[in-house]
Amino acid sequence: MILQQALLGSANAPLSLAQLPPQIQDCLAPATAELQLLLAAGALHLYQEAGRLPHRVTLPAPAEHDGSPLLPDSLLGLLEQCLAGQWDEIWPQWAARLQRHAYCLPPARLAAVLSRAGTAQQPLWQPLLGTRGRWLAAHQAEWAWGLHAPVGTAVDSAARWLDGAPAERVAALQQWRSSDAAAARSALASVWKTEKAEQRLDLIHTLAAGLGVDDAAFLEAALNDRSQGVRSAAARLLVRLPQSDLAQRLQQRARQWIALAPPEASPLGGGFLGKLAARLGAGPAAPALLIEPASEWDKSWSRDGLVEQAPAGEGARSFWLRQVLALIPPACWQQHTGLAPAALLQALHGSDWQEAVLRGLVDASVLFADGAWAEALAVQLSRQTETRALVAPLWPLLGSECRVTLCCAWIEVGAADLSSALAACTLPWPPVLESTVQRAARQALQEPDARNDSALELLGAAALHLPLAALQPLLPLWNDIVQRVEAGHGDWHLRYRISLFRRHLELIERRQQFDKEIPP
Amino acid sequence: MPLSEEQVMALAPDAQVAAAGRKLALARSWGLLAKSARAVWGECQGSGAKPYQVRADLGDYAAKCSCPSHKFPCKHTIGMLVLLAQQPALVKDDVEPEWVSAWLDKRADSAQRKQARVDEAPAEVDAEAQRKRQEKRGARMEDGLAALELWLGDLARRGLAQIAGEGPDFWDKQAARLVDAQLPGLAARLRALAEDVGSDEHWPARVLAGLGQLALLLQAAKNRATLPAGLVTELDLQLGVALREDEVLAHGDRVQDCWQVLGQQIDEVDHLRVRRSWLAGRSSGQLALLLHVAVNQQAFALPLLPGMAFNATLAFWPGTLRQRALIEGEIQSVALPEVFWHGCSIDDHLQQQAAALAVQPWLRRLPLVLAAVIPLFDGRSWWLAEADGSALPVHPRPAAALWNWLALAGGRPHAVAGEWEAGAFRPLALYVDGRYQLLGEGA
Repeated sequence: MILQQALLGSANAPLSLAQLPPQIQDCLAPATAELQLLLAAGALHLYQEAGRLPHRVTLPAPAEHDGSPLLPDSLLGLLEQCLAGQWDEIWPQWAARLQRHAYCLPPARLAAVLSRAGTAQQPLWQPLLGTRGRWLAAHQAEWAWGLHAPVGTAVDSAARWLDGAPAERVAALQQWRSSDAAAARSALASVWKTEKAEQRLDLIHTLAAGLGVDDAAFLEAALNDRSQGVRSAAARLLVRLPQSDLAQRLQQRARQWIALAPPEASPLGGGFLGKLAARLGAGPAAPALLIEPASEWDKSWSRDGLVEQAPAGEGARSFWLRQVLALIPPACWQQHTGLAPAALLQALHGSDWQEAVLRGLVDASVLFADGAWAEALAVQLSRQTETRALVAPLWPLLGSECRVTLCCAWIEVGAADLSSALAACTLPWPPVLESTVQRAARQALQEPDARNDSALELLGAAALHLPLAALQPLLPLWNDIVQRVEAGHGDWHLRYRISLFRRHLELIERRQQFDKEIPP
Repeated sequence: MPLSEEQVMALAPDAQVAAAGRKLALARSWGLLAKSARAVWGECQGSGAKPYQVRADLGDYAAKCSCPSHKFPCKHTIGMLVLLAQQPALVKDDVEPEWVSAWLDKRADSAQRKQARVDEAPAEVDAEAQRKRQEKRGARMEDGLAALELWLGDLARRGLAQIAGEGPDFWDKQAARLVDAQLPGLAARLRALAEDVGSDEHWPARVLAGLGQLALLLQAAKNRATLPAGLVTELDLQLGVALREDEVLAHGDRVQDCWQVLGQQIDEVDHLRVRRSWLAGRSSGQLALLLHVAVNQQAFALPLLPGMAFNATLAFWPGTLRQRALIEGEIQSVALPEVFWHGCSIDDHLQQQAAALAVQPWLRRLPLVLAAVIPLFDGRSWWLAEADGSALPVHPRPAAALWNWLALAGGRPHAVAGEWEAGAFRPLALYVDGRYQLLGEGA
């Protein structure tokens, strides 16, 4: 009552103290109406506080007790740094180890983790929350990621699909696809026309789970979509169904463009050089490929998920060729030409279309998860500096032995992008890789060259992945570099990048600290 | 119980120093690291050629570093203490080098000299000059109170709803006028109200109550001549006409005890950091408030760690309610306690509050330790409850502290210390399994 008067102001609402307790009315001194209003408010506050009684509430259920060990205190500072994203390179390893030992975060850190862990990091933190963390997560909608029950039932994914936020709906459909593919597809089909292009693109990707011939009709229809992105995505799914019209159509087109050269059309031709080669006893000419992509764009190709306009710097025909190859199972080429992957790549050598074909084959190996082709391609592409960057998407498809062999080779030649190559090798590293890295790291430390990015990447990977025992003999060299620079020695480049070396040393010490508490 | 990393973080003057200190908590940053019974010291390699020499007194965690940083304690000090907290085994016992023992001796020396100065007979006072000063001050205060009355009247006429739209200038100017009129106590109340405006749905009730208290103080000042002597002293304390520290030491009540730092709250006012430390005496049960002020990122003169305990004599400002105090002489730290020594129920607290209001009607804050309460959030408001469901409201801010409390308690009762202010509780710290856990903003 008095609050309402105070809100409106005495200029707008006349002062009336009649409803105040009589004790307060009695002791109010005469004053202006404004001051009287405030005096009454002050006295009422005093009166209410002095006579305050407790409220009544219903207590919610407490958190269950949890027998899991808590993360040791000595790691809390490190944990804080991980949460701030300072150790993103090693945090996945550590999180996995903590999860393996069933460690939980101490309660004092739970609220910070729940509110600050980034979306990408949440799956790493979630298993560390423990019973207490999941109990806490139920208190705020934004913390729902912490609750995350690993296996959802079809019923609740159907509900989330109906009224979730866009990202949630995609996740729900994904989950639904793995439990009941047909129901999920018809749910998608029923809203397909009303979704925005961006959302259609996210949603169509979910069909990859449980993809089958039943999906062909829906995907065929999606090839007519207005959005280029959706058409391409539909095509990438359809070609994975070998019986689909699209798969057949594309293979046929590619066979018209690429053929094994008949013997007389060997790369040197039947002319002078060819005869010379024959006379010198070069043996039968190595098989060669005849490549001739179409020179005119056919409008119907848009329906095959192909794009007409090449990106800047790439020829249109080369671009079309690359796209078609990317949509055909690489194994087809063996049937078509009768050559093994390595031989086929050999035959490609020297062709004008070499780069387009290689890039198309890399994409195809990834799309069709073809390990044999991935290995052949990775070996071939590793031979030259210019093509080495194309290997990146193939690492997950390579066998572990192949990865190690390639990594060792890359280290020998000082290849760029060493860190992603080494990150692809499963831990713990086999002895051969460990000793190669150790040897190369020693060399890089003995003659530090801050302009050699490959050497710096190697040192970073060594600090991150080499077992601590293998790092121990290198530490004096490492420290020596930092100390020399701190004392004002070393060239300008080294001084400029010394923070990298400091960072390596800090990482190694943090690893020692972590391993001491939680042995691997 | 040894020092915890959290407590070290509470010493850091700002978040930057805290983060930088954590980064320095690496063995490789320290060329030398050792401790004795009374101190810990180390040499940290900085950007210069010579390493920085860092030393900290283990008694009161005062520290000194040879680095040029203008923040105290600096990141090197924090780094060294974090390392001591994280990996105590790394810090070996050793004989104090000269640069450590010299510093410790100098500290002890200056403490003695300070004590000696206090013990000396007060310098002769120029009675005439003092009377003139007081007259001048009295006139200024009267003008300030009259201006406040006008301002409050204007505010009540326009109404709180309209005032909500005013910018910070509206409040700041009046607060500054109160400071000029030598009424800092009222200025501080006004600033706190300004911050509360619009903070949640219940702010009008709290701000109105605060304005009402200001009006009551104003009225009391007008009627000063009719008030009993004790209440006049209390009124002056509230207006901000506090006795000087040497006067408190000369005239205030003294209580000797072992004091536990229940919790701390640091407010930033302009370029000052004002730290409230709430203490409770082990055998007396007496509660006390210590105020310390630091400029910018300078260190507080007395680095008190929340959760620590020490033997000391406190001298209280005279008034009707013993609350604000200062430390007489030196403090002697004792082992960190594993519980709050005293705790009360919700009913006890409400009775104590009523008794306190009876002698000090303008009461702003009351420290309290509740022996066994559960925090809970009902989707709109925060509460603390006892096992039987009786409950008190909790301030909605800072929210991070409340979520932390919820996480630490897990729906079960624990002892918690905090402040009662404007009809709600603000938690500062609690004990979980014998361990002191900070809740405030920094935690």
